[in-house]
Amino acid sequence: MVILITSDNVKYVVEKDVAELSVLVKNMLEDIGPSDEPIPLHNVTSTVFNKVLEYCIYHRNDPPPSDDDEGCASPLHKYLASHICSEWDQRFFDVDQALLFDIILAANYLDIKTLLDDACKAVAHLIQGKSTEEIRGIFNIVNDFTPEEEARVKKENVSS
Amino acid sequence: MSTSGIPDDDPRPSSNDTSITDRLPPEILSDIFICYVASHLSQTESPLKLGAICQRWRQIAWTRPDLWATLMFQTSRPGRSVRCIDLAIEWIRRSARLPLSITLEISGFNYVPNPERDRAILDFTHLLDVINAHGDRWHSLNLNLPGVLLSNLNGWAATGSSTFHTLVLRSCDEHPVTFTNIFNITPRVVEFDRIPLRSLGFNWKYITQLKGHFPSTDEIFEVLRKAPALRHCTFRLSEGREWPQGAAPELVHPSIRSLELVSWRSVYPQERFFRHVTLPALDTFILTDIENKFTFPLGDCQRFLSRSTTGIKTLKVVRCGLSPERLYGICSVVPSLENLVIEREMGEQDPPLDPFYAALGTGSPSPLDGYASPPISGPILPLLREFHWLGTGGFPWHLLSGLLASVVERQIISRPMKCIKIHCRRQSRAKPIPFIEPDVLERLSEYKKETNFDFTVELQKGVRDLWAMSEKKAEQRDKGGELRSFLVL
Repeated sequence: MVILITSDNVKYVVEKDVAELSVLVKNMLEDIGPSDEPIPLHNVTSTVFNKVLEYCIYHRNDPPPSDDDEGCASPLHKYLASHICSEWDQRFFDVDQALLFDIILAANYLDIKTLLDDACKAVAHLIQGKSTEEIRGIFNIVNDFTPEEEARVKKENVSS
Repeated sequence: MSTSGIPDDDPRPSSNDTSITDRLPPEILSDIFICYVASHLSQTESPLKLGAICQRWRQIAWTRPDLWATLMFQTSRPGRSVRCIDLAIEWIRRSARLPLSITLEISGFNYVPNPERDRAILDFTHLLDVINAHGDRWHSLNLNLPGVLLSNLNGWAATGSSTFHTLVLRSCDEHPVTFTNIFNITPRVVEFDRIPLRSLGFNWKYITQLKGHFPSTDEIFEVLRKAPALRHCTFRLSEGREWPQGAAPELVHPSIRSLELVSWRSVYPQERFFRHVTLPALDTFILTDIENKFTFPLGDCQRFLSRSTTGIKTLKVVRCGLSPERLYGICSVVPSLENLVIEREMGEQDPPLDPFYAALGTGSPSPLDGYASPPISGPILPLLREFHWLGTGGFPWHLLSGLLASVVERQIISRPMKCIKIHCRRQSRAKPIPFIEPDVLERLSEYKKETNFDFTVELQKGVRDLWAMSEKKAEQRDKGGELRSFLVL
């Protein structure tokens, strides 16, 4: 078992194979050797870590992402096919935007590649099929182009 | 000047401080962009749209080369695409040194009046020149163009590298296509249409998959000789162009594993191919759009299949008008067959295959009038594990159990059937749903532990589980019967 402490001082006792899905935790465990010392997770709150833990427990037995292919797909397709979201994943990521982005930041900090990839796909899914204005609306983005830049951008997108 | 077209030292403060995406470091936001583009490769979902959101997104999108390594350019209005060509050229430039996947489909040139037409041809030739200049980075090239443009493909910059994978060349008109310098191109997967074989002077040595449209079996024989690594082939034959041309050489190709013959509509080329070609490694044989019900050279085909030393594992019969006798004849020489797929086209007027299914169950060809092959001992297709049927209307459900087991000399011999998949299309809403009869459901239930039955029907609302629908229908009928009995009492 591994003891992890989140930034809001909540203690978690986690099975080693689950904790080691995080490359950060795995490296720390290797560095400190056998010990009961808790590992602090400075950048993750318990609210977010609960979700991260839920993901890691569900995916603990997944085979590692494989690079095996016959070179038939384009580089982009290979990237996408490397890990396909299941129905469970879709439900898992059906959370409010703030939490979704917190999960991304936590996955990045903890170095959990599959969680990061899946969360990125979930965000990409939010903007698929949306117009420029709709995308700005979803993420509260202000159009900061100058009129000249705006004209150029419009021209590009009309052409395409 | 930055690559985004906006000065790097732009002093304006970002006005997006409140956006949730500002919390993400650029490398993560660019990963999201990759997912966005990869999951929906089309022009409307292109990275250009990402660059139209705000300055930060544009900066990130413009500096991530893999967003630009796939280009799809499709237009049916070539006269109005000059600006797009400039964008496409910029697009390729942004991909840095990454392998390129390029799709270029341009049609509608015939509707462009001169001089716009000449101008458009010049512009697209320029785009092809740019694509040619990146020949050393090609990963996949899919060109569907008028012959006059297609002829501009040039492999001068190709280095014969192993990066190159797929080459699709289609001419969308009758203009002759001639390539001047493509011998450096070493594709693995090739597809071509309306291009004479003599023009395809690339390196055939490494091709493992080939799909092509041929005017004669002579050209197919030539391909078999020049592509030693071929494993999967689809040979489409032009209708009615081939006439007897003398003796053909005997050909043995040791590595072809799957073969699809498409639109071979007359006997002569069929006979010629089956008699002269031997494919010892063949395990998958597909017949598509073969219409000669009664003249298909069964004996030649049987001997051809028997020359596979690997043994045929998969047989697909797609939109073919083969008679049940001929289908039975083919199956009778492939005892190693594990997968049988039959697809029947909407509105097909071909003979029903009921006698074929019946013969599978009886283990004897006796129901098949005119069947001439020697009798076989034991059941036909003893190793069949999967059967897929896709067609219009209903399947003859009462004959289905014959696929699961055959009665031979009063003995029931089961096949190791793991999956039966039947998908019924409906010609129109007016046609009845092809429900499975209750007694058939009952009989099949006995096999449910060993066999997966996947029966579906296309309805207006989408694809539905036909087994569940049929069970429900049977229940309703029972209830109706009980109610009627009660009323009578």
